[in-house]
Amino acid sequence: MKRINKHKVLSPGLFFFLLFTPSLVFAFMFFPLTGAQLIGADGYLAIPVAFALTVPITLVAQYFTAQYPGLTMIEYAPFILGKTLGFLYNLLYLSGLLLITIVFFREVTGMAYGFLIDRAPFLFVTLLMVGAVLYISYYGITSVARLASFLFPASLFLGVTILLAFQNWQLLNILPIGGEPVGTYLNGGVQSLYIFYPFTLIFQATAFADRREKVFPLSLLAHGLISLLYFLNSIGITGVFTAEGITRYLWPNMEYSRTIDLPFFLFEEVGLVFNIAWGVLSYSTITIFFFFLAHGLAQLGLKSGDFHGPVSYQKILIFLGVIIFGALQLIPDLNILRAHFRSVQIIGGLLLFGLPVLLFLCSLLRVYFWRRTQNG
Amino acid sequence: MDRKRKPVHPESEKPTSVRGSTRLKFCLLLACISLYNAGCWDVMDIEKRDLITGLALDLTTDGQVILTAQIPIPKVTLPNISTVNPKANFYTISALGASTLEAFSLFQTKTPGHVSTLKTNVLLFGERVVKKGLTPFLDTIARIPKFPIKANLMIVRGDPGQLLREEVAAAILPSFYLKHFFEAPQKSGMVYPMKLWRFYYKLDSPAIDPYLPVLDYHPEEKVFLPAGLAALSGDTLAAYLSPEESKIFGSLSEEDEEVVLSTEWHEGRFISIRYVNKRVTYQWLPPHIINIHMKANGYLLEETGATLPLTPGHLRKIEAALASKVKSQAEELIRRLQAVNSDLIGLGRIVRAKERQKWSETHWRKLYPTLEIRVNVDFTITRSGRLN
Repeated sequence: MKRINKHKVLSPGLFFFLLFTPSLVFAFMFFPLTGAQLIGADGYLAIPVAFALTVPITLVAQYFTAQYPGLTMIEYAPFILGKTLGFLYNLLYLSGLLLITIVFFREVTGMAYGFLIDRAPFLFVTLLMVGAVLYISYYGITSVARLASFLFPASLFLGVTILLAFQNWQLLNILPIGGEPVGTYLNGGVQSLYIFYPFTLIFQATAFADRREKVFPLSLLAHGLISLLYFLNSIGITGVFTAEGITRYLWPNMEYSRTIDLPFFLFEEVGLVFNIAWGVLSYSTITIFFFFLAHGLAQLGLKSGDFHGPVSYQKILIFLGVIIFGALQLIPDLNILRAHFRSVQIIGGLLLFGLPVLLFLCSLLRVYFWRRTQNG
Repeated sequence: MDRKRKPVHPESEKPTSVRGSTRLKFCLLLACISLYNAGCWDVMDIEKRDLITGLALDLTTDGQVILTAQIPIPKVTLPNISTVNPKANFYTISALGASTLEAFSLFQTKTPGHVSTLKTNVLLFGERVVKKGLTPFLDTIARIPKFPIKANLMIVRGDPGQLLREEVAAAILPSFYLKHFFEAPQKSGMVYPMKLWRFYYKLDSPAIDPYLPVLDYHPEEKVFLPAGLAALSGDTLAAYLSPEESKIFGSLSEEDEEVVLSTEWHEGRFISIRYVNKRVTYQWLPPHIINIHMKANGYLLEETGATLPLTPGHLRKIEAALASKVKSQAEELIRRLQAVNSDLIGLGRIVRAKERQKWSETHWRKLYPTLEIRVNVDFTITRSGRLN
């Protein structure tokens, strides 16, 4: 069984793509719904609020990177909380990651059935997808990160499409700006936080980074670029469809890309290419989720002192593939997911962002009490 | 020379056989993805598909939905194949039902192959269905993910199904004819296309009402004709606008079209102007006034008196005559639209932008007919053509 030594395998570039791709595609197809439903015509203002609320998460990750260099959160949580609490903490955290992996995977298959395939059996499609994901994840973090970097042009295509769709944009559709009470925007921002949930991978990914001093600026860059793209996208889609018009669609961004008219019949249907671009990036995202889930679960069983050694996660990966394949069969349609999406938002937020913040507070308390003991 | 050796990643130092095996696996993976993307179960020959290129929706006198579809016959519509009878390159099928879905389901039982709406270019509505309110009849279509959202919507005063059966002089599918007709740039200002996605958002937004282009057919010349616009109030037919009124609507709204405007500027002498680069600003003066200011540049296409040379004084006079005509026509059109409570221009968005807290659809529907809407027009002729 191949064992991968986690240390210093990710160059700054690969680290960037590892964070950028999942965060870009995770909620990309439907996120404008949240702002439009909660705020209205200026629902795009939810994005800067969500960005501001996520920056502290990056700072917490930076703090942990400095305190526990070369360790993932799964490894240092028991140091802070103790063995049993640390184990429970990690289990909860990884279940949050598992939750968003299943939700996202189901979203991808739902999208494929909506626009690409009709009659292929769901069992076969999911089996093929899980198999393809396992294949890449099996070969370790460099493989999943390289795939993300290799597929970067697809991200550019998504960006260009967003800009091209501005051809039907009308200023009047995005007015007024700031007409709602401040609380509405805050609520919109909090409820839009889910778009940044994949950023939680930073708590594991930093341990693999080659140059740790670049972790924080690169995370901030990825975070800023994604927020900018989402913000532009949100302004664009509201200007084209109006806030009320966005709420009609299950995947507003897919419909947004389908409004593009290119001259000379360059592409009769940009939407399909857009779907494929998002699809391949989603594939890359799922490989990243799978890897970190399997690696995290493998680290749960490590004894303290073994942390700097290589971890064998491949068997867990296959086991995880079976679990996720089974879970996907149990979700018959997307309506169930969408109906319970509020729960996913809350549980995901608490587990993926709430827990690290809690761990940070515990760590501060621990340092405080340690210093007090030292002083006196 | 002692050259500094670049650091090599341990994985790149694998033996060639290992790297070859990795490549092979990668190729296998790509093959798997392509299998998935093509959707092996979804591959179907074009002959086995019934591709609907045009769809007509209307109500019978007893309120049943009648759906008519135009389906091309691929083996005679392919390039380099000409049929003796051009009519034979397509056929139409109609089906009746209590709802659109019921009619569509019945329609599917009447066709030999797999019905597909992927290439539906036009969607025609009969007057009865638009008078009753389009929303319930459009629901089925809105729920089909692959239905082209760029399909052109139109209203027909007669039987829309019959229009899909008509032969066109250009000997192509009537639905293709209409698609090209609406997309040709030269037609800008004469026809106002309404794409499905645009119609949906205007239907969903309480601050703007949709319109539909009116389609007519000339049986002797075998051509389709644009016959103005149908203004809707919500999802219901409110009024018909003549082609001349449609032009004025185009110039007042944000519909990005050029129009050709004509007027008598001097006794017995007419000018025509192609009107481009317009800038329309809207101003809300609470509680009851909206100012629409239109600033446009255009170029002279025709002056029937053939005044040579045209002095700056002549041009100013022409500009003033044109501005005065557009102003009176625009104010008249707005009064007509107010009378039927149809906000085609989307003035509701202007008021909502200024009075977000007060604004509601009910409030706007009550307010709109009572508003005083003033139009100011400034025209500048930037070019007078080849003649001085």
